[in-house]
Amino acid sequence: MFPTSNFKAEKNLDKVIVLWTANTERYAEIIPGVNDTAQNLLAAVKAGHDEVAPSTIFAIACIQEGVPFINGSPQNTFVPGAIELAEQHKSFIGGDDFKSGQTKMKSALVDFLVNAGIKLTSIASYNHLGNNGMSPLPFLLSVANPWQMGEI
Amino acid sequence: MSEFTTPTKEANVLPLLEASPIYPTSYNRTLTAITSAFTNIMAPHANELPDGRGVNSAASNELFTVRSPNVIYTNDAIKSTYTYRTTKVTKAGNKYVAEPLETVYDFNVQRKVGKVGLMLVGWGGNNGTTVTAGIIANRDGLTWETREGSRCANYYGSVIMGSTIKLGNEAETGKEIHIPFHDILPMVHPNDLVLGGWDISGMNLADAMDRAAVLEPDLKRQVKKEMQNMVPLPSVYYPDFIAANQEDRADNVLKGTKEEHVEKIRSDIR
Repeated sequence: MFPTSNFKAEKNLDKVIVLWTANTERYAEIIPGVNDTAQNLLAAVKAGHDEVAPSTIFAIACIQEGVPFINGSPQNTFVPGAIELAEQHKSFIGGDDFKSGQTKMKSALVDFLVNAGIKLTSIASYNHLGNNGMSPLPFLLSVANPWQMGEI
Repeated sequence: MSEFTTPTKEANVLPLLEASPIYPTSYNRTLTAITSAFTNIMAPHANELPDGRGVNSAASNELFTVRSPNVIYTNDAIKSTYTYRTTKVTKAGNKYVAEPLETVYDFNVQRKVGKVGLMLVGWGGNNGTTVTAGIIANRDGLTWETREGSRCANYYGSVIMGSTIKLGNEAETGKEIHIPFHDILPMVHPNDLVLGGWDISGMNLADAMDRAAVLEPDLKRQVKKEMQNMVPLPSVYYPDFIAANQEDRADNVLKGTKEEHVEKIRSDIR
């Protein structure tokens, strides 16, 4: 398990799966002519356009290699051009959040309890792996164009 | 049933559930494994399942076969056809027209799982280091001390590894048959994954595990040596996209253009 630059060949693997478990990114702006089609997205990569996110770079590389790419963060990695590219290559892409289930369940339960006339005194969630799960928040609150992170 | 292709000989190591209401002795152990799925899952390695199913022996690894005109077994694949039925609605003036819509899907599931590599983007983060240590701990069957007593590795936190699914009812008795979720299709066992990946921080996985401050010291001590040798590949870093607090650790980033980044990632995977 040393750092390799040809993982599949050096480890003699039959298959490789790539999984995004890095920081949540801000949303990429969907711009016509930049990331709306596969062709435009590849041209935007070539031109070094600012709105191509790191996760989309990984997704494109995986699609072109025919390797499944799973996204674990709530971000719009799969811009329309990336989805079209995956379809063209018949390559598998998927995923939009590792732990959205907790948030959704909490929202549903809170709604149910409030409607049942039960007053909540506290809502607690676990902090994913303990330490800097909410560390993007200062960034979230500081940028002019806030993230569209879904429910928080 | 006329379209049904007889499963290969290997696929018949386990009798069909429907066809064999009385289980031969050799099947009883498998049944035990089904009803006590967690005992099964506790096996430190897929090769050591109680019924002797090997991890990469394709068909012999399958717990059940499906007898249906929509499912065909070949040596290499399970080919199944599924019709997804919905209703298409169109508006006609003030009224609607509803018409059934059928989409036919053909699934082709490879029976040989093979040797699978998992490359994590953000390998040195909290998720990456914790899952890496967790897989090593399970693979080696590690036990470690905590303030509350000793703990041993398991996959209870995994939906796929730690839960069961109802396969159906036994025809004779009506008894529900549950199988480990992991056995619903040919799947890689996490202990067999070869791990790798990228990170914008070049810290080795053992040090990164300390930085994450998630795991117990006695567990970290036991996986440290192996994880010290794991160093993430340089990753893609566009500061505009992620939180500023990541800047301090971004010492392992790719230079060059976005186009070169795509090429480098492809070459890393290949």
